[in-house]
Amino acid sequence: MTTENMISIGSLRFGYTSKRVLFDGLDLELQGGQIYGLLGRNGAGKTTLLRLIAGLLRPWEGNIRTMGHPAWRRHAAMLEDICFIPEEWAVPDLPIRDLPAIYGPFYPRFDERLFWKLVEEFELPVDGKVSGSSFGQKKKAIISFGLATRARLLILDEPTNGLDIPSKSRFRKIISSSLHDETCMIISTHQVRDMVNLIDPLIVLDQGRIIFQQDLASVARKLVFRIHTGIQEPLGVLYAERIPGGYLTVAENAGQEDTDVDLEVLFNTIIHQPQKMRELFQA
Amino acid sequence: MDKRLQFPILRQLVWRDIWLNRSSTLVFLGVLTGILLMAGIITAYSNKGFGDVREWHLTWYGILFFLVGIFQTAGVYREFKRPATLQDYLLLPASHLEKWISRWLRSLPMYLILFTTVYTLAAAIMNVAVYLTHHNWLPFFHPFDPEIMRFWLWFVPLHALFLVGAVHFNRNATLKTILVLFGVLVIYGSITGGFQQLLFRSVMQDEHHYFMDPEDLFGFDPETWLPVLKKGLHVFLFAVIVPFLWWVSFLKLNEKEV
Repeated sequence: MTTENMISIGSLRFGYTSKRVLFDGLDLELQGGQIYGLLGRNGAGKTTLLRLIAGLLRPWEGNIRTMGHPAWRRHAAMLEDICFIPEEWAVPDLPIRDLPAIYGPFYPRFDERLFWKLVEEFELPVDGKVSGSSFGQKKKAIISFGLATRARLLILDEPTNGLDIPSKSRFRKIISSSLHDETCMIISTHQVRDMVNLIDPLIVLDQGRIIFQQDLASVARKLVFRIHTGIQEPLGVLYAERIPGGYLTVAENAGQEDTDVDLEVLFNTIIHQPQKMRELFQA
Repeated sequence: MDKRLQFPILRQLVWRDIWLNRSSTLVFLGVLTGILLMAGIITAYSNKGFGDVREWHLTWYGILFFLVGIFQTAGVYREFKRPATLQDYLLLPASHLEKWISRWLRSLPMYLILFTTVYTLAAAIMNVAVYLTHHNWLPFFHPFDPEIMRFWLWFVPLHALFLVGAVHFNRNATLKTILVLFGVLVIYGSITGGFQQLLFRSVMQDEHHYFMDPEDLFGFDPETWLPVLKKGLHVFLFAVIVPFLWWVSFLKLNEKEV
């Protein structure tokens, strides 16, 4: 098993009803050693794609191989290597201290020391029942357990929802330190500002199609992100967004300027100018 | 389909189920004991009294065993009610076979042992309660009574049927399975009744005589072939239908989606 093809999707066709096909001929390959950011508008198909990758849904046509296994078959060997933290999840009616004993043995590489380290780092109460905790506490408990499984594929759907500000920065730190060549992470989120300096490459899904898949270095090479002061909308830009006192703009990087990528503005540019962005990144 | 079978994982699945359901199991044990105590004391106070204590236990054991058995089998995949819990279960790193066997063990042999043990203990408590109130020692409940063992045997086809319902229906599996069963029986009855009318109308005595005399039809004594037919049907039920239904429930578990 090489790190090169952690996930391989070919000619995927899927929908919930025969009248509304969500994916029609989707192809995607994801490799190890990366934290992929999966972005898209509501209803773009992000959660469905993540569920298909985890084998929770059956494709109508095409194939999905997750770490070499046909995803839909949900082989135990594949499940041992997946940590899927969905947006809505079920927490067991257990104290945090019982989680390793009840769930740990299912994961051959479960690292109990790492689990307790993360619990401490997230300042979680050990004796309280997970189900009785706040939303944020539950999420932190699930994330701690998920990372301690040492699964090679981490799928996180809106991981920072419900986390307080210190926990978000701890989350970023923990996630980036968990990345290895053998690990692939997919983070689907609307909270892109929480993911700055974390997700790279970026995948944008729109109406069941991948309309953008680039690493941030290419984005920084080809686009320039600026703040324009004044009330007049700047001309000759790909996208301009009104902010107090001016505009945030995205333009072609003709002069090899080095600017920080603003993920939110980038996403809006991709959604508003899909054709131009495609031409720019294909060139 | 994944047919891996590792004993430590199977044991862990069973242990996880026991641990996560310990509160509801304790409530069930308490309710069962309470029902039996109430029934025993009411019977002791009634004019009729217990009469034949063995018969009394057979009736109560039978009613409670089948009723609770059906509900617990149909609810054995309770996590299918919510997508979040269903997802959690499907992603648990165990093979389909391990997952299926763990729930089969829980809903059949473990239920049978737990129910019978609790009933036996509750019956003993009831005996003490009746003695304290009426100074009358009742004979103890005998869990290995041949009639009780017949109940166990006849629970097996019901278990197989409701296990299919439990996997297939995400919500209200008991009611939906009963409705489907009722529908199937109505259709089956209509078809066989229709065929009977079509094929054997001439043999029937008159239009009000719906049940035919088998001797008129086949020319031999039903006393001879009815036991053979009954035995054949039993073998068919336990050797073909029950394993087939278990197999269907296993396949349905493989195909489950969120």
